[in-house]
Amino acid sequence: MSAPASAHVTPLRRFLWVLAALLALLALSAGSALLKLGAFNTVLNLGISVAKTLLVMAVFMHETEARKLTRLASALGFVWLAMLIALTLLDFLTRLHVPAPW
Amino acid sequence: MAVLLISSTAIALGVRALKLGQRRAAMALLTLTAALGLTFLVMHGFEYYREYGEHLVPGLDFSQPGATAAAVELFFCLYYFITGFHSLHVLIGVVIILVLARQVARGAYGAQRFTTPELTALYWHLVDIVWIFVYPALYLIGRSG
Repeated sequence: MSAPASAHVTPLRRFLWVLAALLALLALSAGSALLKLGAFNTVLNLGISVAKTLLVMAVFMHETEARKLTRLASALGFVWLAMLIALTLLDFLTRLHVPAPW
Repeated sequence: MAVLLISSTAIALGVRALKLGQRRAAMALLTLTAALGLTFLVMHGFEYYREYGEHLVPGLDFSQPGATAAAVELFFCLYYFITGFHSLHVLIGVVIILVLARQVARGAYGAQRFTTPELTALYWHLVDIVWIFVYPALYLIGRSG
């Protein structure tokens, strides 16, 4: 964030483009549930989620307007979160699937 | 759900209006954001109510037929923890944004003073991002095939 005196104002059009893109991606991800892609449904949905997140971070959260150091610090927070989620999922995804005995 | 995506845009536009010194527009956009957040919560309420009717709430009223009942119960435990905590964050956001809208109306913020609204917007975007991942993870998984 810049000093208040030199407030940077994002152009209105950019916000509206991002909104349109977010809604299009949402429709794509909801629509993809109708396709039978096996494991790739999940891959596709996560890919779309990452794309939406990058849009929100880049424009709504002003990452593209920030200084490089600010961008780095902010991106690291999300990378750290992704690592925690990935490590949590590692436990779940690498377990053997044992059907319930009853 | 598109409600949170639109509300994220609304608060971004609200902070933008504030930076341009358009206080009334900022107030309206902040109120719209809070209203969309509330809409999200009400929709979740209906969803929970319907699931309660279908005996899908572990701990309160859970009974499902068939061999997959234990797995269904596990899923719904996770589902209520994740959506419940997310909804709690949405509720916190709605309260903060309403307080902020009131302060904007009183002239506490403007083109020279907008760090608090900007930080509130960052929080709201984060809540939105969490939903961007929760939605496919809980609502779309296993829908195909």
